[in-house]
Amino acid sequence: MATPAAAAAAPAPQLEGDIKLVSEDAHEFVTPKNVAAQCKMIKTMLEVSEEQEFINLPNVKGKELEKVIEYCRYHVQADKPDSGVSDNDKKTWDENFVKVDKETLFNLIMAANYLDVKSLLDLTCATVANMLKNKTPEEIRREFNIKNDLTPEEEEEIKRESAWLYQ
Amino acid sequence: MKVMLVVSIPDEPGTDISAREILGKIRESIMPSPALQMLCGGEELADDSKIVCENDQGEKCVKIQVVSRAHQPRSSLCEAIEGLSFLGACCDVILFTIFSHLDDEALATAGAVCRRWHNLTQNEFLWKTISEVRGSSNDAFAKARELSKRILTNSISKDVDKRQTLWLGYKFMLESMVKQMLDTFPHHASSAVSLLNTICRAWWESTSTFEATIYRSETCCPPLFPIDPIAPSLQCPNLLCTCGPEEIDDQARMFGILGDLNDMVAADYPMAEFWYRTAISLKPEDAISHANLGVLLRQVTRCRRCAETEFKRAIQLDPHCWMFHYNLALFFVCALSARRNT
Repeated sequence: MATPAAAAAAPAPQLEGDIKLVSEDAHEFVTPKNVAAQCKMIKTMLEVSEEQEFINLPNVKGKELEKVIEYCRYHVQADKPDSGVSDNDKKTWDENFVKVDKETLFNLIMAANYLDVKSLLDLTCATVANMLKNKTPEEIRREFNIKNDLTPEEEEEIKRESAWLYQ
Repeated sequence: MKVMLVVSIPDEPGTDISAREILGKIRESIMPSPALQMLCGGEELADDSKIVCENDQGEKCVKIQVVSRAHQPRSSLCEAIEGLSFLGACCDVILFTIFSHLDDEALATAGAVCRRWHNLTQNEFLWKTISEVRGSSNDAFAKARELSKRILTNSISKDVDKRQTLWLGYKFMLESMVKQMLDTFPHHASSAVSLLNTICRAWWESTSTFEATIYRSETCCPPLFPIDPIAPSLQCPNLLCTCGPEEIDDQARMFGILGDLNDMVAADYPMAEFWYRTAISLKPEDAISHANLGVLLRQVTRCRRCAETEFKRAIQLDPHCWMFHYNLALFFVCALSARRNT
């Protein structure tokens, strides 16, 4: 039984033309729909309603939204099979892309999480992960302003638990 | 588009809330979508966010809240970012993503930073991920196995009678695995869900004593899932004869959640259909599973009548849940516009 309802429930995304993205602080970015659709959250919205001309993003500031769009734009181009951009080039571009101060980096993580851009979330989180490496717990606490709420006994217990690492 | 129904337990049973208030609440947090306005008498309706519909066991209390992706007030997070204490304030999902990029030594160190980080790093799947994906040493994998063994020993093989063991076993699955996997492991959700499928199927098969037919409506279309190979094992667990109605509810709820997981997270529709139907066969009056099955059938199979039957059944069971009416209305609107297009 071929039912028209099924076809209507999952419409093919119309990704031609532009969409205006409006940030929390009212910055507007006119972006090609195929670029904006790299954000899964925007993609869902575009699929639901094709007529809308703009999308409000109340959780993203203009500065971060611009960065996210820059990232999406680059990857839409570079990920095309015939783009001629090597994986190494992409890696270098990504590395340069996340050379930002911590505040921007954290904001980018929030934006990538909110807009649901998995590759950008992975990239930014990996950057933070690198900051955590080769540090002692105390150094991590100091650098990232984290309060130590473990009792001395608990710390001892944790040390015992991770003894397998240092055998 | 799909209306997601996520069931959870209400804080204050008996609280009533009108449809208008619900729509108002949704409207506050989500952008309007003109395409959906017509469906609720000119009211704008949410379309991108999860809607948690809480139904207090037939007490006609429906409570709606909109779950946004950020789990805490944004203002407090902004302050945390400015104070560079973001890593202490951000949600678990982000911390997990960060941790999954560490090697085993750094992960162990992170576990010693504070209590929250310690609890988060006590996760078998995290260790498995870093040992498999990041090519870390065997130590991480050993740690993962040690952790999983500890969890299993604690929760399943307690020295109690079989029924109690099984009860603990599936409570363990329901509470710890489903929650943990969904909340904390969005990026590995598909494999986590397929693991859950295997475990629950094995559990389901091991506890069965008598045959029961899996739920089909009269107008039912051919099932999506390959029913024949598993048909002999589609039997009810013996818990069904011995346990109280509450436990059946819990089981049905678990299978319903499994259906949701397969449907929304893993996109394994045949498996989702299997679990929804299993949930309904355990608890035929489970309106939400009927509605979810309807949404699934509308999307995936070409069986319109069957989806319609499920929507109507859900409304019949719980006429006060506006979501079911909305589902049916959306279904008709889609069918109508599709007919107009052809």
